[in-house]
Amino acid sequence: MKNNQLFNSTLIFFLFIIFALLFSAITHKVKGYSVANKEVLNTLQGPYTLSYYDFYLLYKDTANDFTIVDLRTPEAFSKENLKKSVNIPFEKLFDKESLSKLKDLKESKLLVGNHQNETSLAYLYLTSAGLTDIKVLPGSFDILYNNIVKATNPSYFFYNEEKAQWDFPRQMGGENAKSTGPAPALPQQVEMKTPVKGGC
Amino acid sequence: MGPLIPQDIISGDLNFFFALIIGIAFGFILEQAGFSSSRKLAGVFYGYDFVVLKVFFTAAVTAAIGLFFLKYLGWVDFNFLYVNPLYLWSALIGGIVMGFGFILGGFCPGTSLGAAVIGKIDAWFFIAGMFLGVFIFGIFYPVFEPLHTGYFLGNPFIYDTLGLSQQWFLFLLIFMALAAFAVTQLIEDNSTRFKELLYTQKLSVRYPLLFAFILSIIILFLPNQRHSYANEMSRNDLAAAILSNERYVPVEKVVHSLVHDVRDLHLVDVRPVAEFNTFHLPGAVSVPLENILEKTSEDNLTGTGKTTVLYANSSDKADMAWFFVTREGFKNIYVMEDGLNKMYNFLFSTPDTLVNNNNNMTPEEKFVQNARKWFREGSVQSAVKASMPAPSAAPAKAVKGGC
Amino acid sequence: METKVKNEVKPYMNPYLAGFLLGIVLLITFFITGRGLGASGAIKSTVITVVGKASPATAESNHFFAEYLKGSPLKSWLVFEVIGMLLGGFLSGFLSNRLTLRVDKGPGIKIRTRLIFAVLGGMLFGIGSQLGRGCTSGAALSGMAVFSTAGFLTMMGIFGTGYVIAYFFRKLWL
Repeated sequence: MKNNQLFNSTLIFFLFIIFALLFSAITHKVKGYSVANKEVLNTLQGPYTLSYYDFYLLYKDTANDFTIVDLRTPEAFSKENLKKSVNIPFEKLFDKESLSKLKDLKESKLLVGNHQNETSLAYLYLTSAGLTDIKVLPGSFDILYNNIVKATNPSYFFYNEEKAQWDFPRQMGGENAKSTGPAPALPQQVEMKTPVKGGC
Repeated sequence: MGPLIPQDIISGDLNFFFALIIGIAFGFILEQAGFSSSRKLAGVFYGYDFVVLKVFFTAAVTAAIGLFFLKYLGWVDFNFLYVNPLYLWSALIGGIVMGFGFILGGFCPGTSLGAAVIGKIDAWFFIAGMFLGVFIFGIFYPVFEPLHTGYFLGNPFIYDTLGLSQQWFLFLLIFMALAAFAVTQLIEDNSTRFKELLYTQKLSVRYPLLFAFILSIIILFLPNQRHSYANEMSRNDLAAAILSNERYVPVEKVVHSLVHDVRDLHLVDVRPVAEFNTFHLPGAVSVPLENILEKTSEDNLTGTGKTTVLYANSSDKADMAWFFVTREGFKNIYVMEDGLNKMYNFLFSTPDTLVNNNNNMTPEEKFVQNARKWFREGSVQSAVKASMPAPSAAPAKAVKGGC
Repeated sequence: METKVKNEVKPYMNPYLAGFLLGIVLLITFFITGRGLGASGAIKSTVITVVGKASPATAESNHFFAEYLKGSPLKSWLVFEVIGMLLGGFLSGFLSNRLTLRVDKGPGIKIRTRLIFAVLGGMLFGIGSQLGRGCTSGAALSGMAVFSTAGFLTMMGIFGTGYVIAYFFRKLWL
């Protein structure tokens, strides 16, 4: 066997592949994700948010299958909170205990927090860590609480912070804003749909 | 990671050097295998010497297995590989014509070169014929052109064409190769012709076959592709990065950079293309959130020499984009805090006042008024530069920290 | 005695070993350059350069020649690779004591017949490799390694045709 170059060379190739696979499996484990980055991104294609309207219908009946995960501070939580909610402060969300606590929840999880971006990041992080059946409640707890739970204001039914709140091009679309830069398409002076309600 | 040259990981100037080295290895192996003898080559069609099939199939399967694993491990990006374009009838008819050429000439282009250089006169004539053939093709190109450039079907992969998964296809390919080796060996052994051509090094193939078999099983049962790149940020580091809030650039800083034409920020708009087309910040490029992990977006995220700042209407979408690229391993990507909504609010929430040097405006108010004018009209730039101190709210360098 | 041993023609490499090493070279080529091996492309570059130099008018009026006169065809990757192939082939022949001037042919034909058919075969390969966008190495071998449908199709075209017509040309080789 010693002089069989075919054996030797194919053995090296074979072992290289095996070790590379093992190496990749080990490093993957160390990184600690259960779901690939691209797959997390793909989950955004489905509705990952729950509109206030759907929440309103769901929240009316506590027999419905859901748990609200409140990401605000314990102080704020103790002041006012929603039915069927658990408090996991955003700062503690990334601890091991919080993750196992959330993993034990059997019901659909609805995230709500101080800011929509925080809630969304929590969603992405938890999805990466392998949790499923999570939805984001847009906006913040205060907006939700004041406009849906305490008093119901239908103009907030489809509230989302990410919507443009003003007609940007009308005020900001001057020559400077238009002319510079390697923009692939020139901005057009198109009137946007009615300025979105709600906001700062 | 790979391929190295198309991604500029090593300089393209070295390309020709590698070409030479690779060519030497290629030519050496072909000659060593006996491809310099047209009689050995032709043997594959008459059953007395299957060296062509053995070498050719082994090489193709080895490289295919290697590329499969390199892709699986994230070490080679198939988007940068040259995948032969499929011009259906041109490829097929070209293959048929080459089949005739193989039987008549006893060589293929690569093998004829190695043969010619060690003194095979028939290879010289074959090469002369090739020059003639290419010349004829060129002269009569107008006749060939519709065939040559017609029936273009993209750059499909064989497993997609056959409707198989890549893993299954490679598994079947390995088994076809192993079966072909067994059958042709039997035919070759039973042939009584030209035994003198089989003057070949004898080696046991038992273990290499075993390796191929094990690999084929591994290929079949590999879990789904994980895109687990070595430079992906670990979950704990990502959690710390999320909590640190160091990613936020206040809108004042962005406004300052734009109005004063500092050009230190590379603005990336992660909103849908339609919203980008309606309005976007000057100089921004569009990378919608759903495309943020595409290979083509990479140039828009790094390598600009400026600080990359993602923005959307609020922090929400930009933060999500930041999450994906940071997890992917990109460093120093920032987010415009609270987005365009905040910027608009910052610029237009106070009443218009005419700026002149006599009134009692704070520098911040002056800054807002001038920036407002710049966004509306775009004519105050030089005046701004002359009269405006950078406001304290817009630190020139410090990126961390909130408003 | 010693010199006799020295000049003895060495056996060919084991085909599976050669194939495996060729596969590794192909793999490294893909990893470094993003493309596979080839041979016929260099012939094309040479022909185009010669035609372009000899008759620029032809080159301008013909798409095939014109397309490649824009750049410098002789500085292409494949030209350097083919120069390497010539060196490598010579090195191998030299080390295995196979450097001899001779014509390989089937036992049943004259040298002249062999050479005429070699030119014919070369000519067909020249035309075929243009249609197939590569030859046995560029289209079939490299194409198969990246799982391209075009590579498999061309490969089947070459070998399928070879087996179909082999019987009719058996006098050339048997």
